[in-house]
Parts: sequence; C-alpha cells; structure tokens
Amino acid sequence: MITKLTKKQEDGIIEWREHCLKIGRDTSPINKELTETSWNKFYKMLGKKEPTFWYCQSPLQAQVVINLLQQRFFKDIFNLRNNIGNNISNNINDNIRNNIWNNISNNIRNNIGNNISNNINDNIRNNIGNNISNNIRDNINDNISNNISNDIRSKIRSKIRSNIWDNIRNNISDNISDNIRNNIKETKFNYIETYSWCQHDINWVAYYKYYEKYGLLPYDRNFEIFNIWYDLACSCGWCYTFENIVFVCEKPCELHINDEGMLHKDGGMVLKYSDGYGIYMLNGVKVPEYLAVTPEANLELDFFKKEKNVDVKAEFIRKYGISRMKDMGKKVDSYKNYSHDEWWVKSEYELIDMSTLFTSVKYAPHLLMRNQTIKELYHLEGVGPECKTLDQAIKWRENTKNESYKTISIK
Amino acid sequence: MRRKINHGEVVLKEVNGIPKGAKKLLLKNFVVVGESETKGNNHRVAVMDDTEVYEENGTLYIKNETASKVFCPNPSRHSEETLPASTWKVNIAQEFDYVMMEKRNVAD
Repeated sequence: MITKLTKKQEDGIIEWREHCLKIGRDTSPINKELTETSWNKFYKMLGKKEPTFWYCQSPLQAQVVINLLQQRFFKDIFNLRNNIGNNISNNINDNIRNNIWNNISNNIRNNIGNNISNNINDNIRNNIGNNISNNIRDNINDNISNNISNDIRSKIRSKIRSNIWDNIRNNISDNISDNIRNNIKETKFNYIETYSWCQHDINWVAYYKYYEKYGLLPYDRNFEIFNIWYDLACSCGWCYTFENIVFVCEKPCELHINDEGMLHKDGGMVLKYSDGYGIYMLNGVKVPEYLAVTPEANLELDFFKKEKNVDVKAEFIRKYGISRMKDMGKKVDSYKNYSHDEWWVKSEYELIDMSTLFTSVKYAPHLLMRNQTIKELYHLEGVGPECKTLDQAIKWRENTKNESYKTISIK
Repeated sequence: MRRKINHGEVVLKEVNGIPKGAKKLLLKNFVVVGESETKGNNHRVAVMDDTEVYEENGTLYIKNETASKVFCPNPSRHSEETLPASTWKVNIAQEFDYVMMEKRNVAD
C-alpha cells in the first residue's frame, strides 16, 4: 500500500504533464502504421474484422465525407446499419464485457426507430470510442482505490489530477478541441459527434498512465488498453469509428500558443489543418477572423460597437489599445473620486461617455473595468443613459436599486 | 451591510432568506450560475452536503452553511473565489447596447 510519493514520482507529475501537453499540441504528420495497428487491436477485442482507413486532412473534411456517406448507397457498402450487439461480447474479459454489453444494449434500443441519418451517429463509433474508455477508466479507478491508502490517495490524487488531468484538459480539451468542435458546428452539416479524440484525449489518458508509468499501481492488463489509447494520442488526430471503416484526421499542421499556454495568434489562424481549415483565437478566446488578422492600426470601432460577446470585446480593447480606446471618449467619473471601496480602486472603475462612436446618441456612458484575473485586460460595457456617476453605473449594471452592498471579491 | 461577490458577469448578492415558494433544486457537485453562450466556460458554485439551491421565476438562490466556492471550469479568465457561508441571490450583470438601443444581459 503506497502511503507517500517518492521524489521521482513527485517530480514525475510535472515532467509527465509537460510531456503529454506536447503530445496534445503536436503538429507532426499522422503515424499511419501506429494508428492502424492501434485501431485493429480495438476492433479485434470487440470481435470485429479489421476496418479500412479513410484519411482526412481535418475534422471538417471528415464531417463532409461522412455526411456524403449518409447516402443509402454508401451506407450499405460500409455496413453502417449493421447491428453488432450479438457479436461484441467476444474476446473481452468478463469485467469489461458485462459493462460494454449493457451499453451496447442501450444503444441498440435507442437506435430502434431512428432514421438512417441518426443511425450513423450511434453504433460502433459510440461503442468503441466511448464505452471502452469509460469502462476501463472505472476499472482503473477501482485499482487506484484498492492499492493506495485513503489518506495519501486524497492528497496525491488531487495533486496529480490537478497537475495532469485538469491542467492538460484546460490547455488541450477546453482550449483546442472544444473550439474546433464549436467552429464546425457552425456549418450547415449534420454534425457527426466525435468520440475518439485521440490526440486530444491525452488529458485523461495521461492521468491514468501516470499511475502505471511511475509505479503507483501493480500490473493490470487494462493498462494495455490504455497504452493503445496512448498510442492513438501520439499518432493521429480525431477519429470516427464505424463497422468497417475508421475515418482518421490529421493533426493540425500549425498551432500557436502564448506564454500562458493559451491558443493565441495575432495575424492569422491559431490552429490550422493542411486543407486550410482552422480557427482564429487571441489569448484563448475564439474571435472572428477580422479581429485576428487585421493589424491594430486598421481596426475599425464599428466591430466593437456591434460585437456582443464581452470576451471578444475585451480582446478588441487589448489589441486596439486601452489608452487609444479611452481617448475616443470623455471621462465622466472615476474611482479616484471615491475611497469607500478597495475593489473600485483595484478595478480602476471609470465612467466614460463614448457617444463619439455613435451617430444617433448624445450621451453613451460606458463602464470601464480592469479584469481582476488578467490584469492587462479591460472591459468596457455600456450602461443605461441615465447613469451620471460611477455609483449609478455600477448599480445599473448589477441591477441593484436602493440596496447597498459591500464588495468582498471581484474575479 | 450585506455583501456581494462579482465573478465575471455573475453577481452574487447576500439576502436575508429564500423567498417563500421558491423551488428546491436537487443538484450534485455544482450549480451553473452563469451560462456561457459562446464558450462553454460557464460560472459555477460548488454544491456540497450543506449547500441548498433554490429557484424562483428563473432566479437562483444558494444557501450554504459552510464556505463554498465560485469557479469556472477553465479558470484562466476568472479565477476561483470563496463563497462565504450565507444565503445568496444570483444576478447576471446587464449592459446597454447603443447600436440596438436596448439593454441585455452581459454574455461571454
């Protein structure tokens, strides 16, 4: 029973995290051999014949191809309607088999009555990508519980989890894959959900592999399955798995981050695939192409006026320049006129009339605030035209009428 | 004086109690107190054993016997802060759009 981490295990948390972050951000070509070998192992475990592989340059291209294959002719060729429930219980140990069988049954029930286009979203893809990982993860969690004492478990698990799983998830899943997915969903396609993120699955794969790699757990054959997921994370981008075919996406060919590890590229795509598909982001915020590619000197305030998202607006201010922005307006009130609230000082509250930006109004008060988590970031939000003082503006923003509150924190 | 906490567009205001007729919500782990319309990085309050969450006409109320926390899944934009033991009303900040000449909730 482990009660304390060794120095090597302690040091390994950060070392392993950094190693896996590189995997999640890797822009190298697909390792086709490793990709196909890994998927063949999974299909074999499920008692399926080896699939063929269709390589796509980007997740968007995969969406296009799979959407086309929803046509009846192709659907039959790829056997996408095949019910696999009776076959899948072979070749997997009892523990995993029972869990997977339950999930397969559910999926089959859910599929009954659905039309052809809905069926493509279920079936093998769900069962390979989702069910295996969830069930193996549960199994490994039990292993951790049984082999590491309660006392040390709670301490080291939270440390390992925050340093490996959460950190990588924030940097890879939240920062990269969520933005790609949201971007693709904006197209007119019937969105095909991805359950095998491969390169971008690295956060949870890294977490569990840490226990194995640094000797915190005895051998468990399920780790062999985790090693297949790890190989996939190292070898390819997103995958879409069906009965006879796996669609494999390339990794991005370009990826840019700032000093904090957030996706950031001023002047172009922050993340780009070889077919030209990509997204634009500044300091971790997905922004329209215009804001990313336009030089700061050429930015038009019309963009700021029409943008509704406060994070995008804050990035506009950061790029445009807070001084330049303030110079466009006329200061009406300032935190410097008050001393009753330390948070007014920290937030550098100012009330600024920005009516010069608008042709149809004579007075357009805006509340300027400094972000308390990112100090170089400012927010400029319109408040009601009746606001003549900071106190009125803050109460208007927070929908506070006659009550008074003491601010205890702003983040 | 009653207290308030700002977490992005979310404003948690201390109140005397839960309104009569408010519906108790059964939640585990956390309650989303501010949606993220565009990024999925919503604002949450941790729900612990002694945390009660109520809703009345779309407004959330939180009663926590011990300190809880306000946080976003990705803390890069708004770091975590402590929510002291008390009863809180959840408000969303509003802004005025001088192009549309209308007020709306702040959205991120």
